Amino acid sequence: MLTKKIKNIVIAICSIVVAVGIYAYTEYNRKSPDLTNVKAIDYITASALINTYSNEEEMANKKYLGRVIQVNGTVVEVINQQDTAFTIVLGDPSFMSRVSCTMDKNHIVSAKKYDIGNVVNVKGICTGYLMDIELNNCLIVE
Amino acid sequence: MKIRTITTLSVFFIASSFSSIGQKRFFTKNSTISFYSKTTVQNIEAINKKALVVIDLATNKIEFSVLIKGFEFEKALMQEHFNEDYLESDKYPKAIFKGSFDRQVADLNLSENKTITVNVTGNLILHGVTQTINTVALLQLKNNAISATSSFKILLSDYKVKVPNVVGNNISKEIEIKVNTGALQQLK
Repeated sequence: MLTKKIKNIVIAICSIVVAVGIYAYTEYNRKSPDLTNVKAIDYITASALINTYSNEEEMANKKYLGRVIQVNGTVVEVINQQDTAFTIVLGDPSFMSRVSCTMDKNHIVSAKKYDIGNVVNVKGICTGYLMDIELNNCLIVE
Repeated sequence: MKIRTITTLSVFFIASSFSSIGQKRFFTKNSTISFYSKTTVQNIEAINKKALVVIDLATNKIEFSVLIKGFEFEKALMQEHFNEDYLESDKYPKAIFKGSFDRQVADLNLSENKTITVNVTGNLILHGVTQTINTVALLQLKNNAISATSSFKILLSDYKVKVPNVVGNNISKEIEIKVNTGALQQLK
């Protein structure tokens, strides 16, 4: 009876150790998320996002920094850095700042269909504002 | 108009004034800044390809700005710890370097293909802390374009970056930073 109880305890402890090990291994090797199924916290036009950041960067960061947003705008530039990075830039030629969207590697092929003048919806993670507002891990929402 | 807008606009207005007297100001929004932590336990690398770099050959100045959240790691967990626990990127979203070369480069002929070594001294603002950096940079002139590369090392403790003891052996106390501007555009 006692032996069986000890056996059950050992099995339970081993199960917990294995489960923790699998969780730790999975968590350690987790890649950056694909945003396909991630809901954006806000849907905004490129012009409105540029205005928000230009007027009050600190407040804009509190709202958007590190968050997933979806931006609608006209493509004003496409930058292909030797296929190591592919960036679609949204904006308006009359604006000094733009929205620079670095595409997720898994979504570069679909992004290459678009060119200057196309109106697109881009979902990505806002990383902040230098001369442009920067979005990472981006994909085009068809 | 807010301070940030003024700062952004000033880049262009100052650039315009320099361009009119010598057209020696160059910039790019797509420079690569990477850093490396090497220990016996683990090597960590992160890369940011959207750094803003301005080089002014007329005044020997170089500046770069980079968004901390723009650094990408191979592993998401490392990226999260980097942003949330170590660099606190919500509080300190940017790193900025402002420095100058030690020699006159205003008379360089851009059409000449050559590489010039310069000493660079300046201030790096990271994690809300300003420290002086001395390093060497290579200015490359090729086909009427200019680019620059450099690397230097920083101590995490100098920038008040605290690493918990439990991962102390995984993260080097000294981090190597590499800058590769790629081709800069001349401001006109």
